[in-house]
Amino acid sequence: MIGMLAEMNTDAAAWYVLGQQDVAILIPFAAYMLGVLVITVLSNRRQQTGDFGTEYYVAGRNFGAWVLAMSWVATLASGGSFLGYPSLVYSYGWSMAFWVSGSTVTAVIGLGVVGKRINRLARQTGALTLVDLLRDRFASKQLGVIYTVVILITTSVYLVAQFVAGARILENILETSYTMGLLLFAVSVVAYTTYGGFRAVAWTDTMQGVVMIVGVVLLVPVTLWAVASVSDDQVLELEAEAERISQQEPTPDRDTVVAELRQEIAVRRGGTALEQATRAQAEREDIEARDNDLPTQPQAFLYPPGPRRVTEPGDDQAGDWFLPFGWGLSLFLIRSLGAMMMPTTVPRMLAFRDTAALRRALLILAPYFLLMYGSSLITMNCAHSLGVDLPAGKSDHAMPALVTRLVELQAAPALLAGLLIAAPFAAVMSTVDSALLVISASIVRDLFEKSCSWRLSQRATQRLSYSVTASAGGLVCAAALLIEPAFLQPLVIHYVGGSASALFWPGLATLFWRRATTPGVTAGLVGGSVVYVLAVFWNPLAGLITLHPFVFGFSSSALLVWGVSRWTTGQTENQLEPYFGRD
Amino acid sequence: MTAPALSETQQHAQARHVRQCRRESMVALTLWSIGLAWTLVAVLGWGYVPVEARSAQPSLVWGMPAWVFWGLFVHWLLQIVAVWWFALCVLKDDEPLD
Repeated sequence: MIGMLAEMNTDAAAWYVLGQQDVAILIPFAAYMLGVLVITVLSNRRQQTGDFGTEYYVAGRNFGAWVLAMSWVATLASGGSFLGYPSLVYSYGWSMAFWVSGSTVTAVIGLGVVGKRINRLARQTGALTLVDLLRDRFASKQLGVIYTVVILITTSVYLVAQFVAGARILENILETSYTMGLLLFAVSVVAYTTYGGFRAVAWTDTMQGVVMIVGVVLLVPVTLWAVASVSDDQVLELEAEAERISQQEPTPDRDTVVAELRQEIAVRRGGTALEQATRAQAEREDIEARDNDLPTQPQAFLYPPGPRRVTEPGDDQAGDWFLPFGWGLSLFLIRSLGAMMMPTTVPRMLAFRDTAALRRALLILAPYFLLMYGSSLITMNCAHSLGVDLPAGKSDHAMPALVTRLVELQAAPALLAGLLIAAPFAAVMSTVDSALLVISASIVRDLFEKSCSWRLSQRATQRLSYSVTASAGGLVCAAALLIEPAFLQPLVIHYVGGSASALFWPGLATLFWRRATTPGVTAGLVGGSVVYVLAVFWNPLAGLITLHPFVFGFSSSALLVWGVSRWTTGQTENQLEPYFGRD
Repeated sequence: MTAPALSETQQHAQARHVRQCRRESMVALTLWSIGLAWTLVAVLGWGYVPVEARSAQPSLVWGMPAWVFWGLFVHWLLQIVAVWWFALCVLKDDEPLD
């Protein structure tokens, strides 16, 4: 997701250039694709045994710690984490630290609060989706349908954005057209998701999660080494310059100039590579402010609200500071709370083996986000010191441009560059496959089988699931062909904010609150969605504080679930006992 | 599909499971609240500083602005330790229903 919150600029034209420099760079990418193929075939063989639904949608409820941890995080992190967030750090410097601060608590909130409870109830009731749990607890098909529709709308929107991201990456790796990139991406990801089901998705996600983190973490020492190396070269040049000037005929300025040069040399020798890069950021000019005759702030790239927002013609936020406090606060809330009931991550909670797997998954996940975003913060704040200089509006090339620069400086080996090509593609694929299965489960399981009471044989369910997964992929592919990529980033953000606004409180109340009622949960679901949409067009606190629409939708949903449940008749003890027991 | 009815013993086990899950959730939400408070103090106190309060030589720790180091990286490391503590000491094995 969360990458999903970064500006998802996905152009990466430099990838093709990289691949042409050294074919070895493409080896990790090719190995990754081969790995996906092998996993899919193995997963499909496992599907031949046992109940199709349990196997296809929750992989036999037998996930161990690594599969749970990696598939959860790989689903959460999309292409934005590996292209978009680095692009923003490149553009706005250290102020972007506030942007990801909510990720400090994502793991414990995302898995620690609801993971065990969802898993227990799903095993007890045989639920294959979260909608199963809601519908069964409140014995309401209508509630199930509404919840499913919200999931379908938000997830479809998200899928379109991710398809475009995947297409753009292939377009640039292969230097082909956008349409061809999209078709190649769609065929590959839809094929392995349809054929392999949830087990293939989870296993490939696990591999993708490892590929992603290894790539970005290795980038840190390589980048810092390159900054130190470039700085050493600059020191040698400064020393030569100081020596040359000191040999000249005495002039009034000579000693002053030499002293300044020696001071500069001392500073460069005294600091670490990151210090040097950060000091360079402190002196960086706010180009947007300069070009638009706007006031600037000193050290704008070191402190929030950052420099002026880089804008395009027609941008209604032109001239604003990049990260006003209210927006940063909203992002903290979305990044931490948004992961809890997200349609694409919840299926993992129905599928892990036992509490021991959840415990070990938390141990594995705890440092993951720090490694992922911390490495982007460090490396991208060094990019300017390495001479990565992109024109305004092209910061989306920052990651490939940095890798290209590191290859030029002979700091990054070809295989590492290859890993960095594979990482964003893996991030997009791992998000798309999960979202496709969510759509398939919502339609086949929640709408056809449960809400419409279709009685299907195992074979018919299998065929229908394959058809729906493939058709959903086809429809999203068609939508990605028609929609302007420039408008995709708001869609990605709306997926997280919108789904959390609508689904968070109804889901939490279903799991933990005895007093929750069908009207209360329905009101929270519908009210959170409606208020969110309204707040997108009209901010009630405009002029006071800049808040994301999520804050309004989320708060309204909480009030509605609580207020309407209190106001309506609660469930009977007999209805509650299977879910809450009795002392 | 509705949840199958539970025997008397199973109902007691279910009630204990719910209590334990609520306890664990409260601990997780407390960690979240601490995280939010820490972030707000660091960001408002040292991040969103007025321009006139910014020193000519920025205060750096390990090469990054002090507010990033204390507000994000130190906080993050502490949260990692807290999550490990949560996983090892707070999260209890689920009692089976049968």
